[in-house]
Amino acid sequence: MQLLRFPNLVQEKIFGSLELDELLVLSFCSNRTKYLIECLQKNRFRKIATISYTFDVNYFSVCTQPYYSKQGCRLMFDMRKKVKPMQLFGIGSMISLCRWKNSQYDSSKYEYESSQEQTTVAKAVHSYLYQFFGSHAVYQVFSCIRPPSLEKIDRTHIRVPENTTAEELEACFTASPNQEFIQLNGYFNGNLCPNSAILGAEHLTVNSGGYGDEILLGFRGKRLECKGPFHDATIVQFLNEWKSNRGFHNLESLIINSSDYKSYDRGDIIKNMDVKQLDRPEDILQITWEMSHSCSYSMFSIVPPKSEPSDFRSRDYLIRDGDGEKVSISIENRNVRFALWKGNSCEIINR
Amino acid sequence: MTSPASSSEVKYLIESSEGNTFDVSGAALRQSNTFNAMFLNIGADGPIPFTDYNEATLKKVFEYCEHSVNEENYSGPKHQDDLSKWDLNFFNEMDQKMFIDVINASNFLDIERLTSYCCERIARMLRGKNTQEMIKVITLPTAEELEAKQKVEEKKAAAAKKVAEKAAETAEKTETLEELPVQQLVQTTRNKLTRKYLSFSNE
Repeated sequence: MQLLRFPNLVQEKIFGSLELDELLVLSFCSNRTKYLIECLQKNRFRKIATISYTFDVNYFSVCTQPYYSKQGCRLMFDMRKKVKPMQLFGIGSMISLCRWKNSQYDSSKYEYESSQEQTTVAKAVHSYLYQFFGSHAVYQVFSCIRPPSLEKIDRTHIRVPENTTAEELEACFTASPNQEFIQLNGYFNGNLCPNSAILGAEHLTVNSGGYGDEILLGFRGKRLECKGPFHDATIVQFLNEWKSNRGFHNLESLIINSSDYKSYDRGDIIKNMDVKQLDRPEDILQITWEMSHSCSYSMFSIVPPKSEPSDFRSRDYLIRDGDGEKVSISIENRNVRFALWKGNSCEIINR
Repeated sequence: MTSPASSSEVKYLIESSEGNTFDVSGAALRQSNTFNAMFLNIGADGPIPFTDYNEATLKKVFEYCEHSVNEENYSGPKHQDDLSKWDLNFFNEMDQKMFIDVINASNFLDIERLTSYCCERIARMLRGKNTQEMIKVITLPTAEELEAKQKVEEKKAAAAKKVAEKAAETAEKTETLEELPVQQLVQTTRNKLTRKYLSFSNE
């Protein structure tokens, strides 16, 4: 049955009856088949919100969301000693096996030869999928190991393995700097390369075992959330630089949580700053914004949310020199919070 | 003959590629959106020509339409497992060539239900297969076949090149042969003239 000779409407209906992972297998048949699927299923592929890569030592997987029947697919890539050569994803020694199912979810399973590095296979798979599904989806990486540096990745969450150096961590982001969201936890000790690509992420969440001073002072993005200790002098330097309009021009919000490490002396930190307070003593400003968060834990849910609201209440605020921009600040015990009035949702409430 | 009527009793004449005609009920024919767009309102004087398709194919397509006249309105493709026994028999008794002809005719006539069932049936043939098995279903040449084909083409190209070279050589030789008498003629004439000149100068 010569599929390629059917009218386009018929081909479109056939492709529409197949699930995404089946279409992917079909696309390996020939370049013409691949091109045809890309053209005729463009609208369907546009509905894919995110494509997530999960890396572990011996395997990696790809999952598309939202995951409904025919709208999503899950691909597992396992390492095996010997694999019958076959040209898939542009790699000779990868073989597609039948789809296997279990009670929780079903996946297409692929195996690649152990002589090939996971990095090489992952790069080839990502390059193929990016071309096949298109650029409209958000491509994200979640990894328990140092992940390969893939191009055009929008979001990354790494549980940093033990003894990872700043250079090794930096190497994970060379192909995709300026990401929309980065989260680092695990054995992250707070050390980053000077002018690190990580600090250029729009939203950055770090859980650091060491002091995060360099992260705060070098951050170039919009929103930063840090769990870990900071020196008081760093907080003072940061607030002074912002107030005197010497840096942090992109920053819209900052949350520092040092609950396991130390507490901050509000009076000491703001003593030489011109901190203002709301006029009426009964008023307090509630400031709210959306902070990106990792979808790693909800990988198999149907539509995982990409962000969740963050907020705090404070009467204290600073006015930036030069442009008069206002920012609410809150320094209480083990937490430092900072959020611009502009770009965030502000509401005055009675105490 | 045919007429633009709404009654299902009305029969229309259909003409196939062989020039044969046969009857189809108005109700069956109205499942074709192509027919609805072209003939429903204006009617047809004489047989309706669907001459891109043979009689057997058209009869098969309209057999399906006649059968599904009384079924509830179509609401999207059914899963193959939900097909009735009659539907399954209808598909199973077709060989592959007829099946392909029916898909094409159904697509042209825009009979949504039949086209969707046919497409779902093809999708089912592909489901759960690996790439090599899919290649067989959709009749694409395998990598080995492509390689063999390429080798044959290379051989053919090499043979053609040899033939062309030989032809060029032959043409070159022919040109030389054709040029030879002219050269000889020129030389002979030149010799004669030289001899004449010499005889004149001696005189």
